[in-house]
Amino acid sequence: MMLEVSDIFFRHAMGDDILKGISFSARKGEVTVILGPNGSGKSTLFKCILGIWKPYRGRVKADGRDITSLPFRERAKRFSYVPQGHEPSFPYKVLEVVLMGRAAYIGLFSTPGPRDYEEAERALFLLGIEHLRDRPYTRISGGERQMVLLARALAQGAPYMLLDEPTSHLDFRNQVLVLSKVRELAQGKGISVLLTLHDPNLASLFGDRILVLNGGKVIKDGPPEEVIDEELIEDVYGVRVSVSRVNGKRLVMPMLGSDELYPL
Amino acid sequence: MIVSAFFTSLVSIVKFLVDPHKLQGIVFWLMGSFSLSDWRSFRVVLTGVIFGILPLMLMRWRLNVMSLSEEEALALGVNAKRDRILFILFSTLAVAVATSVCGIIGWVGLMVPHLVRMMVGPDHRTLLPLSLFGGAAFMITADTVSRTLTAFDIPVGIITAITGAPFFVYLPKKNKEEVWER
Repeated sequence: MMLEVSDIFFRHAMGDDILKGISFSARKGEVTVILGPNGSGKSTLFKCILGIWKPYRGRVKADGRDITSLPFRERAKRFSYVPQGHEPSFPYKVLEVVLMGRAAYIGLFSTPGPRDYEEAERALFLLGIEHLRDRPYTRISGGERQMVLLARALAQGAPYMLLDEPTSHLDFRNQVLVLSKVRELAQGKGISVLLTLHDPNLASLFGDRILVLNGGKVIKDGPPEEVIDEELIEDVYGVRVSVSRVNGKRLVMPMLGSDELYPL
Repeated sequence: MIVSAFFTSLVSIVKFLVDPHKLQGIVFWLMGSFSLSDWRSFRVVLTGVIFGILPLMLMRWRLNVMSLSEEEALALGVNAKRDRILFILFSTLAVAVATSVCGIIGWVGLMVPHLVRMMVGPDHRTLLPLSLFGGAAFMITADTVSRTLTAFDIPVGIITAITGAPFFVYLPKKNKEEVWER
């Protein structure tokens, strides 16, 4: 069980390359955090893995099988996705939203069956949000909404889960809650999780591995203890920091008051 | 707007060229009326409408997924581009066949689904069939009014427009207070 991305290149029509040869692999039960500044190609990489955009070079393999030309339905059975900044359209009930995660298993001329309801209810239960079941999706908080999208992704029953900035609009408690749940799912269900984050501290707290992206290239790849250091953060974000070790985790602090806070 | 102007001018050409004795039929068709329909045309329409609506009914759950962004629909395994074409194709078939007999009866298709959604929520599994029956009920009411209001039949399209237009003046106001909510 492994995701292998090898040498992916992508550009929009008549644009410059956004991804310039990205290679990495992600293992079962592991949380891989993709860290990188705005415009480094994080979201683009996800869209290429999901097949929404087509890379002009390179391969994506899941469990040894090339998925580059797989139809969307088959792809959705392998990769679930939690988008960034989801705008709800109509006030669907939470259960209806989670049911949509089953779309890949439901034929064009068919509607969700008992099995799909079972999976949706189970996903709600696993994330501890059964009480939201009949609430309109538009009338719940941002943190609850993120959990619902996580449940929808879980109902998709895919071995790989991609989350695009799952903490971006959440308060502190909900950030911790969502990322803990994601870790739990990875370890408990053996799902291979890929997620993008903006906060290097959250990345080192919750990631088994960190993949650092900058300018469409992989700068560094490895466990947080090996990846996060002063040099890297200065290099990628252009901020002078001190990195300390707390409870075996790396903690990044900007050196406020330093003459050269922004060395670049 | 541009498309509408183009086809309006095509209709004008037909009106201009046609035998004056048959012109009244065109006028009735343009205003939308049941008065020229008979059982023969009913059978034709029924077949066409069934062929259009049956697949739509079967595919109705898909509309839930397709109401998300296209990107999300794709990630959920729904080929939104292809399915959208199918939906447009089948609904065009049903609408075209119905319109060919009863003429241009406006506003029903806009008003009834909005009303039904306000009543039963956005899940297309219930919304689509209830809109169908809601539309039928509304048309029977409108037709009855058009036949009984005066000694002669008022084209039913006028009745639906008179009820429909104010509804859409009122809707945007209500929309701000989340009209989609139950």
